[in-house]
Amino acid sequence: MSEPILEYLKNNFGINSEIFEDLAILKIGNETYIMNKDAMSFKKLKACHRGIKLGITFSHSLRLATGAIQLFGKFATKNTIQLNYAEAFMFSQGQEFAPNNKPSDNTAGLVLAQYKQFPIGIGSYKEGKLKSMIPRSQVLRVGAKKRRIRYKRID
Amino acid sequence: MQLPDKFLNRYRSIIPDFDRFIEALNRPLKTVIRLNTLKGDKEEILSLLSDYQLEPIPWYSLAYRIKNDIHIGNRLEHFLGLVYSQEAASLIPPLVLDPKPYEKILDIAAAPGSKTTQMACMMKNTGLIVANDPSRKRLQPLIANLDRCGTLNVVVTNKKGERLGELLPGFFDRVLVDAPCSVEGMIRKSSNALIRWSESNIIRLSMLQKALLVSAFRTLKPGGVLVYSTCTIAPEENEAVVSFLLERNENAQIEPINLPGLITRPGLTHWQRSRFHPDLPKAARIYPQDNDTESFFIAKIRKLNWDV
Repeated sequence: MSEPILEYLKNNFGINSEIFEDLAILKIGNETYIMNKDAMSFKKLKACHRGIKLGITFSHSLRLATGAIQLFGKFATKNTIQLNYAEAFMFSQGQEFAPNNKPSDNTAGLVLAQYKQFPIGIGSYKEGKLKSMIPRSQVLRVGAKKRRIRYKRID
Repeated sequence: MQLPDKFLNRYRSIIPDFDRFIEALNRPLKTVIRLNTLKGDKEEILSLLSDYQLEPIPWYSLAYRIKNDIHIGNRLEHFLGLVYSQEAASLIPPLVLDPKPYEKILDIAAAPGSKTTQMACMMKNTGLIVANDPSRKRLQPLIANLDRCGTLNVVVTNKKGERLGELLPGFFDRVLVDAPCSVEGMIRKSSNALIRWSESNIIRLSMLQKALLVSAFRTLKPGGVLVYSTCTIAPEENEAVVSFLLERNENAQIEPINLPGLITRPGLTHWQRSRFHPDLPKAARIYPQDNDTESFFIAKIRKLNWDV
């Protein structure tokens, strides 16, 4: 399967393209989606969405989708960074901070952040600081819990 | 907020242990989480939940009631799509439908995707789930949940469910009709559940549900299974709808529902002046006083294969 995003995943994070062999890629404009072959071949109705978004390609760059990274990032073999819980939480909130660990390959640039064995998303590591690249619309937002209202019998 | 007299008087005669039912409505409903095994295995995910006090849900090995005060939406494991907050009764329709890997499944009213993502887990991301919802507005949360859970076998469509029968006749192995309803069963969870409650709304919904169920049944292959469910108590939206299908389709057969650990009450055979199909007691009514859940109604229907 020849696809710029799969090449990118292989070159930057060592995610072998073989893991995508049983899957199908769909391009709609500059967006790329990944799904199983049954989902790809279903054409009887107009679909609004298939599988999950893999990423968006621009003329000179591309952006990986966070959901896809969280699913396939476990196959990464390079440029990963291991975060502790507090760091993983900050990363999920879209923050920039100085993590305790360095990236696995000890180089600056884009890294795949992980908490234990679970991938979180892509960040940019430079001069000891990690900046989360999770889109603002998708970051973890901490909100207040809703209050519960009691009911009573009124007969 | 008070429960309307009309509501209480309407159901006093059909809800068993009515006082216990009212008591149960006043007990806080604990959050239930389902582990998303598309993103990690059970033990791996559980290892992240060490500060949770978890109580297993008897009828589903991947779901737990949270006994301590945790707001799941604020948590990393939720953000990572490893857990999904889903009411315990809402887990039941997919379990009764029991989708198998590589099958073709229709979820005719899928948003916001709780049951769709549960079925994708059960199918291990194989086969096909057509997750349909007629509301364009509701597709956004549906797609967000599919992305978060990592479903690769789901196609989202935006059609009126009533039309799918003519568009896809005999196509699916299994069909879930988790019908739009008057949400009476949700009053334990949301103070808004009864804001628009009226008998005329129940009648209006009943007509829509009948059209949906007939259409859904048409999309089913011979030998296939359909599950009809609502989170409401009104017999007009439950037994009357299933009875409508059974009386008009000799090849529709209702089957009993047995999930270990789940207490169910039989479907009704009559309500006010209506008499329902004699097999309706095979459907299941689920009440909060029995399983510490919301109220639910579930019927499992098989399309008989006349050739066999």
